[in-house]
Amino acid sequence: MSILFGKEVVLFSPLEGRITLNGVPAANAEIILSLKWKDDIGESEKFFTDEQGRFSLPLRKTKVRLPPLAELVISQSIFVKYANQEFQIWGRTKRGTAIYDELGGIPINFRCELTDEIDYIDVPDGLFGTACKWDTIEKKDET
Amino acid sequence: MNGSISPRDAASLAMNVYDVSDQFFIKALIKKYNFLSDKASSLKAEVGSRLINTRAGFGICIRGADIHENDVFLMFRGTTLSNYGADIVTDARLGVERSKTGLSVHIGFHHAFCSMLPEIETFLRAQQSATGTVHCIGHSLGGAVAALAADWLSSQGRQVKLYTFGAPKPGLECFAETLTKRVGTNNIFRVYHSTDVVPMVPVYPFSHSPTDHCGYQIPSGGFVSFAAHKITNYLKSVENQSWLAMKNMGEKTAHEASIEYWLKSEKSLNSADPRTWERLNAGLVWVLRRLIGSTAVYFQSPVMTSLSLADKIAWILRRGIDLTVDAGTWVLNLMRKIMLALGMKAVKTVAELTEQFMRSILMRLINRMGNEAQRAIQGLMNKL
Repeated sequence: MSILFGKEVVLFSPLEGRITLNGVPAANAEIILSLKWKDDIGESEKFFTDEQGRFSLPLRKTKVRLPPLAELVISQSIFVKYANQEFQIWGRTKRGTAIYDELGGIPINFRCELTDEIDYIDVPDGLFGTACKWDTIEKKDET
Repeated sequence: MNGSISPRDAASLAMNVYDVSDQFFIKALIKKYNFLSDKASSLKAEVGSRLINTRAGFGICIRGADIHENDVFLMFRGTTLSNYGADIVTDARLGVERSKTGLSVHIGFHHAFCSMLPEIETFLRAQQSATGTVHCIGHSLGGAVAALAADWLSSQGRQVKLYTFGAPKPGLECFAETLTKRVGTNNIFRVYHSTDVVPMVPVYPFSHSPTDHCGYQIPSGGFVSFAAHKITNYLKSVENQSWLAMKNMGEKTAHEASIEYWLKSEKSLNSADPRTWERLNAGLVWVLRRLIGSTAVYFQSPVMTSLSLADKIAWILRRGIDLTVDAGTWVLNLMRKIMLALGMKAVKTVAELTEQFMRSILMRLINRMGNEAQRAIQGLMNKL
């Protein structure tokens, strides 16, 4: 009776990478992860990069009562505040409940140059735009 | 189909309208489709009944580009977690009210449409050079709202194409028939899985457009399921299809001849399967249309109780029996099927079918159809 007790839903899969501005590591940059799934306001969490511009965003999951005729849409946005500017580096809508739905696995050498334009990527589920790049995706089974 | 977008694009837009919550995602949507330009405006709508009054992002208007540069795309979304408290798709109420064009439509869908209309009008005023087709697209509740938008736009003299996926019935027959005439059967792309319960509600006298075609029915095996309603599954079903192929597919399974054949057949009925009640619904419409051509003028009262509805139908059926032998046979076949579905012993001759007797059977049928549709939804929920 998951309708009563809720189903576990991964709102955001873990993501590690590195942020640069004009090729220089963005040290101590503020990262805001904003997730909306149950209302228009959503929830936001703040993180910071280290001296090398590295960041690690943890898994976010919750229990959601999923009404069967409703569509599940998890809206993910990542903003970076650095050098008195704000950049959006990630916007993805996640339509599934599983971990790594966003990219199909773990991105290797995930890097975000803040001056890069957003690339809009055609995905079969939802919408996706990001300024970040990666070399390959390491497939992972559900954990 | 001339000037229409493909089944894949229509389903994909009906899916992606759920994803748009801010300007970033509007831009992502536009970048995904090369036939959309960047002159977009998001809509807000009040979703739900008058009491709940939830505000939620609900749809978007986008100017076309490329071969659709003079067109406009209006997309509406259905139910999400954020507006589920105000879900009106499965609302059992049969409330109707007059649409902007004077036709009887579902109160909930109409309320949602009216709350968005001022912004749609503002958008269209700003896009005066877009004199081409307005493509109205939506899934589920969004499909019903898209039908109301299509009706209003066609009444304004606009060329309209309507694409719906798993949409409930937006209004009574008079609405369905007027929409069919104004927009044109060839411009209405009503796609539904045969095991999706949402297009089965609300029950008669609510109807789908086009009234002269079964729509684009996609056979989906097994029993009714919630999975059959998901927009992602609609997208999977249509992504490699053309409208022509899908039309033929639907005609094979849902052609009117199959309704006539089903009414005649002596096959036993499974009253636990909601599709049985949907077939009875179709059978009733089929017989009424044969008797009076169109049922629209008879059933457009804003206050439609099951008693007044049963009263009118029984009167028409009895006049049919008195009219010709053929008509009598249709009515007898229909009443036999209804009685069997209700678990009664079926009558054998038309002489037994008095107006009063048929009225009592029809009342039971109408109440049961409504209950069965609700029960189907509830039954699926209990399995979760």
